Amino acid sequence: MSEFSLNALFPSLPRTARGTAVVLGSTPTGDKIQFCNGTSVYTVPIDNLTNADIYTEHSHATTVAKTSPSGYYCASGDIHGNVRVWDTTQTTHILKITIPVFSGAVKDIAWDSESKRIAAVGEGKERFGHVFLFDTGTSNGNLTGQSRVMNSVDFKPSRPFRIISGSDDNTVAIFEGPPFKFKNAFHDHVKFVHSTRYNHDGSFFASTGGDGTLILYNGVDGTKVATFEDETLKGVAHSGSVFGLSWSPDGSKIATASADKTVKIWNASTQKVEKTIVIGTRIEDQQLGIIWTKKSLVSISANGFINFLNPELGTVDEVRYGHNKGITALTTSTDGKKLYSADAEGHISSWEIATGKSNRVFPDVHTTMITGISTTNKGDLFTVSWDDFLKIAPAGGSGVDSTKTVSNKLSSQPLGLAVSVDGEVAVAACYKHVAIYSQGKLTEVPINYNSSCVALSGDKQFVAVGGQDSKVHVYKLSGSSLSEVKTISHSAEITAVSFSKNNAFLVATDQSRKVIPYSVANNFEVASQNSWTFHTAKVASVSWSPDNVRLATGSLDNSIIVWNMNKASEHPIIIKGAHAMSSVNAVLWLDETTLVSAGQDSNIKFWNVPL
Amino acid sequence: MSTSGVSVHPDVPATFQKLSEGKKEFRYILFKIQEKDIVVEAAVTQEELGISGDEYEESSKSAFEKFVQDIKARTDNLTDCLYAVFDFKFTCSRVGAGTSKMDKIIFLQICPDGASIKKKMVYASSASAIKATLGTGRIMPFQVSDESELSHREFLNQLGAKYGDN
Repeated sequence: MSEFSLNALFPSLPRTARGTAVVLGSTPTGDKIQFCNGTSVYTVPIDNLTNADIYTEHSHATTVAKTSPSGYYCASGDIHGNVRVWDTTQTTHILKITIPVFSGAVKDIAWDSESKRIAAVGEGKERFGHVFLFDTGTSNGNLTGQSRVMNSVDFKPSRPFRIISGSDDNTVAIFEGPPFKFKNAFHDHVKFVHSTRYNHDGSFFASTGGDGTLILYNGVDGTKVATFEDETLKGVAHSGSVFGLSWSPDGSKIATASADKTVKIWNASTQKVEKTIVIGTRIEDQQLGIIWTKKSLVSISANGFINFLNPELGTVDEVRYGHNKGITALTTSTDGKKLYSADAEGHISSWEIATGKSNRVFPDVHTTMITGISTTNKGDLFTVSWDDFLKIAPAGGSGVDSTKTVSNKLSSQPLGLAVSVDGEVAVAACYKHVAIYSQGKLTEVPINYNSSCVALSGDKQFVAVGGQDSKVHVYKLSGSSLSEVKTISHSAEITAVSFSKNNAFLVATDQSRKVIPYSVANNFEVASQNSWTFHTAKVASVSWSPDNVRLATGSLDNSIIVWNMNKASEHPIIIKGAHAMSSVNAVLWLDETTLVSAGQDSNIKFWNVPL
Repeated sequence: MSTSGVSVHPDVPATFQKLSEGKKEFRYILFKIQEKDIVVEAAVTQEELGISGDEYEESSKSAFEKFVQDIKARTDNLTDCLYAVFDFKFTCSRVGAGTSKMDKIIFLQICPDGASIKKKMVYASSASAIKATLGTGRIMPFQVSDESELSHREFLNQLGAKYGDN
């Protein structure tokens, strides 16, 4: 039996940037969608919240991924113009070919209906598009003819083959082939063209862009057939830029995603609006991408939320919240049913651990990176952030009510937070002082070193502050005053400290990869005979298991290590590449055998580590 | 990146294809800006030039002279702006390869000193658009501001320096 297994995975959201389209892919059966964040490609099932396939072989930020119509290969592009074609049938994702198509970001990729040719377009210097054979990489024509960045590309799914593309020079171009050659360009748009797509049989294609118009063309020669018009607007389809369009699988309808915060469903034959789905009114509700698979209609909001839409009723069925920036801190509710995660942009998401259902704590509590988060047995949520506030969001509704947040200004930047289980005492380690929050009152104790992390023992007796001076400063806490009882020296900056649940041990980790447990009763002497240095880079986080026997540490080296106090001399359990290509920013034990981890890759993973 | 607001007419890449690919119907093409579009002013075939014989031998000298004459005629003796592409056939010597026949497309951005300042600015700021449309990898760009820069020897030297191995 293996030492550990991955139980569940809450995947990242797609990366978004305001005013930039998100191009989604899907599997041919339509039961999974594909998007990119960081250097990874995510293949996420639409009916399962706790699973995803993550491809992490790109060495630069990924931009777009599309699976071939055969379903056997996926082509993914990155910001430096590399297209990787990889096997989708096995979890190892064997690389078929990698092709540098041009020098800039790949913005869209299309496969032909025979799964033989790939067209990639984007921000090249010498050219903006390239079409090649997927197995050899041989060029299959050339896609020059537009004078600016090409944003979107699609193959006609039937013979005679065509390629269509939309560009920042406001044109839609059509190429004939193979081998593909420029045939014509259409100047019907007056702003950037963001999306061009063929219908299922290639009889028509549609284009849309920054001018809010949606235009229908004949699929073979590109003759303009019609312009879609919303009767409530003058001559256009949307009152904002349209970033994406997607045909329904049967070709009878088109869905468009727009910066006017709506998704519209159009009847392709009458060119009239069938449904207008209003997602919201905030800037974050702008719609940047859309895909209509055989199983669902999915759109992406500007903050990365994944909206599952019902095209018949014109409603939002389900929204997946989460993060698309690095997760910096984790905490669970006392009953162990809810998980709170905080990210580098100040957002907090709550998760139902059993189902993977997510929600966003709204309004946002903080405006920038959250460095510490902790819940109490009353359900209140304590957070500290780089905006120099210690905030308490009280329990309310199904989680916390952030409209009633209590704010406490800190006079220097907080880097760590420890809160007692009952919420009576909270200690924040700040750059130049230690802040103690007790009975609604904040006391700041100045320190003559720079702190980095903090821990509070369960009996509220001791406070351990990790310092950038490579020392752990242990204080006795009485009321809101601290008296230093012990200073423990490490060889490098302390990165995390934690007391065991029974208050018997204190553990400290540092930048020189060491994990050292200390005995509280024995005047904080080292409690393990063995030197625990199995990490290969800075240790970022540490957590004690509820039974006080095991320790989990997450590190910059992408791995998680589980250490056993009773078997200190044995080799620990190493989960290599737990968060591939990403630092493990937070680890937390849910029970004796379940560990949850979160990383810079915005993923949350649940590990089963049997005793 | 062109920000002049001038766009490239779809005929431009289509005509250029007939110079760069397949049977290479055209020998040179002249483009101008008309209203808000870059359009084809003239496309001249090999037959229209009426030149036979080995062009590589003389490195397109006579064809190029006819090309320059045409430019002068159409720019009112170099007082107007123009873009031009010319299929330059020449020979150059390379170490280890001896002399080899080469075929390169040169792109001329002709903005003579005598043209109006406004025209020069519009042509200069729109040049990137047409170059991108033709495919920057397939052309060798040159800027021409007076007649001396239109000499055959000048181009031959520069092409030789780039593709030869002297």
